[in-house]
Amino acid sequence: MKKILFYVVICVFLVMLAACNGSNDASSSDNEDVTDESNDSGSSGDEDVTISFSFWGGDFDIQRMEAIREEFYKVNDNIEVELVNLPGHPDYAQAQMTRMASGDPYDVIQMAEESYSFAARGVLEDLGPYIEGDDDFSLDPYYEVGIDSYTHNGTTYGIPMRLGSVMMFYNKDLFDQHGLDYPDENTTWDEVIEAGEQITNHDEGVFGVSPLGGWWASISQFLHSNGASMLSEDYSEFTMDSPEGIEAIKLMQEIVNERDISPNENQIPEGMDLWTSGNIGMLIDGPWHVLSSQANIDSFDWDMTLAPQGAQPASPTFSNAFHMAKGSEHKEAAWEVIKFWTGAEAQEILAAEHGDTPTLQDVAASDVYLDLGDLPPENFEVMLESLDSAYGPEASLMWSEINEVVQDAMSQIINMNEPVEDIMPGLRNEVEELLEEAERLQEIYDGDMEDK
Amino acid sequence: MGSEKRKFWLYISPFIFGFTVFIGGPMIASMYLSFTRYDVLTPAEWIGFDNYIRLFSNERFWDVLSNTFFYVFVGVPLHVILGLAISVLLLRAIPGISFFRTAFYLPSIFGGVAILLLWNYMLAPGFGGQNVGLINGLLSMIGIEGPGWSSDSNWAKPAVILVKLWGVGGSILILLPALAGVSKDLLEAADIDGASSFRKFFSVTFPTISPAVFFITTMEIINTFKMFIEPMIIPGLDKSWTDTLMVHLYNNAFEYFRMGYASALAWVMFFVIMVFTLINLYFAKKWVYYESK
Repeated sequence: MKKILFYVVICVFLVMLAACNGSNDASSSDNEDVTDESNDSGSSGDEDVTISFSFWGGDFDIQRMEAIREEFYKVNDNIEVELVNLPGHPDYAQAQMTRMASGDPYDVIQMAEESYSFAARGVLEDLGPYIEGDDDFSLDPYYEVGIDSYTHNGTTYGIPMRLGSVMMFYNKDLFDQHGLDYPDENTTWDEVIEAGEQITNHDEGVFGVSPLGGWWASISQFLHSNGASMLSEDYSEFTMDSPEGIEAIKLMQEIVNERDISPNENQIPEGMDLWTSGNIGMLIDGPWHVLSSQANIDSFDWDMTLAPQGAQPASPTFSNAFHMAKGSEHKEAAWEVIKFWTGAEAQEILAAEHGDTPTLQDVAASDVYLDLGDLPPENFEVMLESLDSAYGPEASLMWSEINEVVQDAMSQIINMNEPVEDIMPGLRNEVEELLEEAERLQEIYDGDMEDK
Repeated sequence: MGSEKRKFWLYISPFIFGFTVFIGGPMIASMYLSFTRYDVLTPAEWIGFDNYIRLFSNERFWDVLSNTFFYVFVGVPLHVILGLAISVLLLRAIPGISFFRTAFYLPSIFGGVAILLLWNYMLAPGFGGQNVGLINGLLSMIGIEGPGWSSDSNWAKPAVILVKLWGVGGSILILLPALAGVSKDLLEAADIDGASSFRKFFSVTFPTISPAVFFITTMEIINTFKMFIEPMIIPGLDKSWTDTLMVHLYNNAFEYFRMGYASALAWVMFFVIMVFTLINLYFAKKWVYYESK
């Protein structure tokens, strides 16, 4: 009897293992199909197809996506678009991985900094041929920084609809109270510190400057404006501990600890927003504060300008772009969807929100975007000016992990006030190890690409 | 095959099928994957013991392992003792006892992320006397200056344990009926012999409920080894103070594209939990009393 049980179990295992291998075969042959498929492109042009389009975001984003889809249906009646709203980071990448591994990816995929991690593994379609083969489409009218963020080693994988940079928002009332001049596009870190010292009032819980170094854009803005960076330009070396880097990080530490004009992690209250409650003089953070400030601030006047300069201006830029899955079965239709979603009609819907900047320069510079009516901020046009000194995230193959270790180290320096010299060697070791791994993986992926 | 036996196989087949497809199969697959470099998106590549070597030479692994042990060795005994103590109190027939029973059980129904977020507020140390959370507020009323909890390297782990104790109601649900089942005759006999309350508890009550205590201890040990959301929602200022094995596994598998490494980690976890469960079972023979024996 026991033997029978044993055989049954073994048989089931074998079947399962076979099934596992089978699916591996299927996915690798999928990849071969893919290269074939691009040859018979256009076959899907006449039939009705459904394109699945995955994105993350809240109600605002869902409404925008649906509004764009409505416009899309007006000009296109044989492509159905199924909008799939997925939970955001970190579950988003996990969901994409699972769908791709099962051989059934979403056709069009919104992605941000993780774009390269996926592209390097050969699961995203090179959009180059579609861009070149389409007479109605050109990359020229787009902001370069937007396209560059999704062009890896010369290949464009995604096209963004919206972008925005780190900006500086300021509480006019607090500046008036202390008889200070409002900051402008040329404000330097030294001036920020000077004004911050005057505005800070610990008894009332008021800080001159918003929290520093809590996430990549904040760290990056500080480093870049002081002539330093996290990685070298080709992401092959760790450069944060260059003399400029060390100096910049020490200044961040000084602002938060010795000068105490920017709250550290312990000084940020739970459940209360320091900026909208009027307890921050200068907020240096993403452009989404425009919409949230309009909605939540009524007790003081505020405005915005460019993020402070050190040796140079620096505006780290966030965006997200629409990518095409290599395993998609309807690539021509998927391209039509991406093209429409990043085109002028879709971007005008986005522009009317007066939030993120449209990636088409003409739409961004139009009144649809820039005319806020009576709403603050007065200096909204600096959103466009910030793009002059814009640059994308240092999204190497190990982006999320390098980010994690850098942030841990920065937290030790800024929140726990550990000496910079004690932290940097360990950080360098950790990042170098990750960069070496990235290099090894890159070689493997490049080899795989050549095989195909 | 007799019809009895045939029925046996028929009835048990759903389990066998479920086990092989959803547990046994994936386990074998993860065993294989633990010897490969696998990122889900590209084919797995055999790399021998590299993942294990890397694992044991990774400082982060030892951090999260010692955190996990701390939760098991400090958190589990606290959980069991607190569960027992509350259960003994809830056994008394005082007016409104059903209210108290409900009140102590209720928190374990409201679990999950929402409650943990509330704990974040309650544990907030505040700054300069402002925005102080409930816990430190209460402590200051009796003249104790509360610690920084998550922002203090000594208190970050106890904060996680404190939050985990919130779910003690689940154990009370098991201990309370066990306590009610303790023989009145035996307790009375002990009374007549002049036994003190402590003596009665350790010589009569505890042996009778020992299977229930053993059950919740075992489950708690296993659950604590697998602890995940608490350190995710209430992390220490430095995550290496609070992260558990499970958090480390999750980050590697789903954020860093390291499914092979994560599989190796899962197997190491499996062996650690198994060893502890075996030790627990071995010692159980010495103190757990089954009436049927």
